[in-house]
Amino acid sequence: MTVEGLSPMTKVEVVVRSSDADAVSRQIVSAGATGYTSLPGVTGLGHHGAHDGRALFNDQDALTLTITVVPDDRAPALIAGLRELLERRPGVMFVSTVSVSRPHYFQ
Amino acid sequence: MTTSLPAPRDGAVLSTPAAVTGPSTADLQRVRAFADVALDVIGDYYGLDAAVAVNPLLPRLAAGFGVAATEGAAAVGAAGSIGEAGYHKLLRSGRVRRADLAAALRRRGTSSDAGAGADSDDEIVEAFLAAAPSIPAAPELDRLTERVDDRLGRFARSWFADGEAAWSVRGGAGFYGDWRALALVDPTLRPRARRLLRELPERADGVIARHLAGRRLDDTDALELLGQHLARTPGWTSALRRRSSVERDIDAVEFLAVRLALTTILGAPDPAAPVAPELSAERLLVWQEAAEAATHDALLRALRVPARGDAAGTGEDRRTPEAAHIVCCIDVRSEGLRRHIEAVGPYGTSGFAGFFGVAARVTPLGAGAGLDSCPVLLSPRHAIDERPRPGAAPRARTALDRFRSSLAWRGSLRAPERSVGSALGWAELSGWMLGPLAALRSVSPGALGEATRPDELRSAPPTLFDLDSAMSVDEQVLTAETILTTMGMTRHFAPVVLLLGHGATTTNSPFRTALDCGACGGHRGASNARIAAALLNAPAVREGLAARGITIDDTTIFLGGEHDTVTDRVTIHDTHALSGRHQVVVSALRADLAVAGKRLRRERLADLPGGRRAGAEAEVARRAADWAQVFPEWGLARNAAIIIGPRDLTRGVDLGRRTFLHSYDPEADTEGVALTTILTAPLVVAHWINAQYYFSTVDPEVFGAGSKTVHNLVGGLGVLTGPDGDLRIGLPQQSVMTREGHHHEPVRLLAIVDAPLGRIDRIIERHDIVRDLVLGEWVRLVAPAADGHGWVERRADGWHPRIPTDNTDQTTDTKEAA
Repeated sequence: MTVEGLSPMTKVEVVVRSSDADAVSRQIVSAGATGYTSLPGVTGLGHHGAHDGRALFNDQDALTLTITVVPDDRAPALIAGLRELLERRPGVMFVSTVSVSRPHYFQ
Repeated sequence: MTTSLPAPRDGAVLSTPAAVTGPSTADLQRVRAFADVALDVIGDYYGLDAAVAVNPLLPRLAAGFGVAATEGAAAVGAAGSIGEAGYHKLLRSGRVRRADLAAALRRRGTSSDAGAGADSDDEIVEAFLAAAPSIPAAPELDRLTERVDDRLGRFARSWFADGEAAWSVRGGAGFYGDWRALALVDPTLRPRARRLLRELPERADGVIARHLAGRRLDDTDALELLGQHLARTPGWTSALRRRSSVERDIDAVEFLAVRLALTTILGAPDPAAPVAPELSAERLLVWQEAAEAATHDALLRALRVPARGDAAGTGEDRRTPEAAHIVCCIDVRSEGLRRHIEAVGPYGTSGFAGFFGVAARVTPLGAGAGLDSCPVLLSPRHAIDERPRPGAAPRARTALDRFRSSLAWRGSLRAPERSVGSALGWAELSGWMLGPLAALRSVSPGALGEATRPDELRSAPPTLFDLDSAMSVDEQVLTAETILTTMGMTRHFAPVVLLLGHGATTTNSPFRTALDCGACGGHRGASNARIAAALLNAPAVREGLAARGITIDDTTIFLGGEHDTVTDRVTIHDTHALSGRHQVVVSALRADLAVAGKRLRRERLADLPGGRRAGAEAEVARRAADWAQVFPEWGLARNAAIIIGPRDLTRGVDLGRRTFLHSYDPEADTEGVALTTILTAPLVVAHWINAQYYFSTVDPEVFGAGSKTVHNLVGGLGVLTGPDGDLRIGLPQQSVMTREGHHHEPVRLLAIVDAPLGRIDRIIERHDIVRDLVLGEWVRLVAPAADGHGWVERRADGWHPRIPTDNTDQTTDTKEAA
């Protein structure tokens, strides 16, 4: 969906085990993204069953959601790298078109 | 949205022929993913500044112990077990009983190894032994590949420990860029090599892409090839893994780029594929199960099987009033102290992770930077500073001035040693003064005073920890509640509750932090104990706890202390403002802890090489101060089990300092919240420790650090054997063995969990880490049977009776206390 006055971009969201989150963020940075948001300890129900949030004394036994927004021309390379990673690590990726109000933040 | 993706890959890993057009950006991203995944050949190495025990094959946890210890170990050129010959030796010595071997074979099914169709134990065992595999051929060594290893290692040493180097190799271009800049002017490289280097891409990922493109590999082979390159230097790879997540100034791409560039310019072949493991995963699991049966069974037989509804343990109805209650770290070394102090007087004890639930970055008085005093599984939640108590500021200033002067004096003495031009001259100049001191320290350790650490204040002024600046009252109450409920201590508090951390005093030992508290991130535990005690004494916290149903009587006081595991001396802190009644209790407790420490010293010294039982106190003090001592203590060697349950399970049993003890009250934890915390954290840490000792023992060359006697320090990073080579991860030989053989017994962790089976199953189901550990057979989990008769063991297909066999004819370390 595009919104008048806003700029279309590609949003990539990846949920992986927290131990794999660094590899995801490295992919994002090397693909030229200007930033990302990382949410550790996400909960939910998925392919591998229910996932609780972060354990009390263990930050690593959890899932991390990493979100980034990139210009459309940078998306294919990033997606290719993340797909390669997710071939070998448990996790899911969502790609969508979003509209942003400050496109220069993401260039 | 439709995104145009690069073409799918058929055969070659790169979608475009790099030699013709250069790799696409998508290809470079793929290469980066490959490099990250290839890192899984080895786990993280945490360095020596704050040594943390870890399973070196942690990335292969989900594959299970059998596969990891065979294929995973072979991938880095290591052995993942004592091997067929080692197990045969145990069988011949009687340490492995044929009955145990037969039982393991029967239980694990009818593989070809198991001798299908055989009936008697002897027939099954003989068929199994007859199927012994041949010893695999040793890998071929390639001189050029070794040159690549050597050059990579030398550069990694300089780059990783840059702060220690007189001349920095860092130019701000990253690991590959810095190396490339130096290599281009390196006179030890032949002109042809430098020319080849100039032809290589300036981007690190481009070097890898070009290397793979030249070989036309499919995805699987490309990944294996990168893993084989990284496996040539498992130590540096392991350090790189950790650094790429913490400092983030290097990643697998940069490291591999240097490796592959060296391979190209030196004309070296790619490393050979790993030699197949000697044992199949199934055969290893059979042998290992049989080998650990005696130790695990002896432990199970020594324990009373609890029945549901028992009033037992920690905060429950105690049989006799306690003068004081001591909460120790779960560390196996605490077991000895707990056993002895309980025998000396009317004391109760509990076990809890030694960071006492305080996940904080603690900045001790006078320290330049804070220390992450919590398990590495956690990120610090709070930053807590140690400050002088009100009125103690002048004393603190004096102590700090002396401390800084001491540091400055040490620094000025060492500065000339670090300078390339003055080291020899300084030795000439200062030798007349430092030489006799060195001789005195060598001949008479301790003659220059008691062992202390140079980075700690010698005369500590009265201090406190500034909790209110670091945590809100609500956070303090929540932390306090977590501490108490997790160990099941919610009522019947003794008048004095001592929270006892631990640390090790050694001199000149690079591995000193490996002897400190792992739950405190490889640091001494006194700070965390004092913080937790202050928290539990705070009136606002007590008020908050009461509102949550935990009432601590005004007559109860919490204190923090520390057990020195080298000397077995116990220090109790913050006793300056005790009431008269508490003073009496603490005085008696101090005296009784001294007696318990004396008994423990004698017990421990009997096991230490060169330990003299007469004069034990002088002997441990000498060891602590001896700068040449390679056996200051045994650390956590011989660890074999973790017991999660009330003390009634183990009270009065001599567990030989081989078990982690975590208190748990199953009756008070009906929702399983506390057990979830214990199984997802302390159990994991205990497994990491157990696995580190296991692998350092079965392959001290790859998974261990080799002999201490030839170590060279690389800053606070680690050690090398000699001047060059791979970084040595794991434990040194002197932590797991003596000249006579293994001191540590390589057995997997037996987890004895006193909890309802359904509760345990729910946690296994919901937590990947627990599922991987238990169903992957890294940990053998045993619980009381639901009917109260005997034990049951959790296997992949459910619970099975676990009947410990009588092995009184074998040597065990678990015995009923006299």
